[in-house]
Amino acid sequence: MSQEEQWQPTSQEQTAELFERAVAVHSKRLLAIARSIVGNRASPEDVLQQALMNLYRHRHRYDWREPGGLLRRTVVNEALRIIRQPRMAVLIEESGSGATDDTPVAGMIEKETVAQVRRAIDRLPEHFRAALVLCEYENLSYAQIAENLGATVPQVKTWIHRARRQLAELLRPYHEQLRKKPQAED
Amino acid sequence: MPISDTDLEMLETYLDGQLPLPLAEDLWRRLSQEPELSAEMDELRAQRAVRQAIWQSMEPDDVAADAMVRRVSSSIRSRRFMQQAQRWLTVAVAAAACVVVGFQLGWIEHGNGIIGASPAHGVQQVAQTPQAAHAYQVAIKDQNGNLIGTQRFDTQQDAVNFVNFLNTPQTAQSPTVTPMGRPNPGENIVPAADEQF
Repeated sequence: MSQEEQWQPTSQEQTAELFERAVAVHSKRLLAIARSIVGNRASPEDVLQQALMNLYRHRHRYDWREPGGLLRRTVVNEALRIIRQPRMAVLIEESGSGATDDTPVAGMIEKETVAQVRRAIDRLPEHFRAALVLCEYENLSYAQIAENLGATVPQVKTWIHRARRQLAELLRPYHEQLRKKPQAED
Repeated sequence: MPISDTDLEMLETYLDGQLPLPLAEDLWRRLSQEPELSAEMDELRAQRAVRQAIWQSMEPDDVAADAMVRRVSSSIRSRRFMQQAQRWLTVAVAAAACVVVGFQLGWIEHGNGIIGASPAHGVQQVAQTPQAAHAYQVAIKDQNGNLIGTQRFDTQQDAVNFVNFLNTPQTAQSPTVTPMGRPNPGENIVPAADEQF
């Protein structure tokens, strides 16, 4: 018997309360996941809200005692659904939305490098990007990523590997430029 | 010596924490022996650090996160309100419908309804009590058997009496009205219930 089958919410009100609590606890990470997948093709806030409302509509089906995975899976699916819509295919130029370079972490890394890497990540195919963010940001195992994305473990391994290779290729000119700079200064 | 794609994948799998222990042990041994491989591992770690910083920088600050939670909570509350309102509206409409139906039934039962007020009322009452009024009729025929008229009676006895009266010698003098089939008094008497009123 699965965990979902064992779960018996006592009332709709209680389920709604558990849902709201889960959203409050996980909203930051969920928003970061949404933002990392949709990039600047859509509003991550809208993606998150839509995903959560979809989940709320069917909240009685799920076990809300451990909602992290469920919320993450829903947000990933909604983000992928949004950016796979034809009207989202056009890449909008980076306008400094969302992520701030004022965060302490970003402050440690050169702004230009961050911008270059972000642009490169944004150019990856969406399933590569989703697999990569679930691996490196959410620290999920390949099996968990496969479950989240509805793929097989070998597929996920391939996607992540190719995503990294593509990023390296996309960033190579920039890195070479960086390497040349100190030499020129010398 | 350049790093092979297989080695790159192994390093990445190791950094992902997904390399099985025997392979990880083999990798540790190789890292201590192969500086290129070790340098590549450092490079991959640095790249990953940059990406992780970017992922983390995508997290909203507390204010934005709170705003997001409020937004979702507000949507949920309005949705719940709409659902409750819809439920109450359904109940109210059902109750109103019950009241209207009950009122109409009461109205009809007291004889004031649309059906009771119609001209069909009399017909209905007659049909419900066939014995009460003109339940029997006597067919009056001429000598050729052509129907020349009918007479209605409330009871069968009245009808029989009428037939007997017609069959008496006095009435036989009448040139126009001649009853038919004398010996059986019930012959010309037929129930009138099937006649259209």
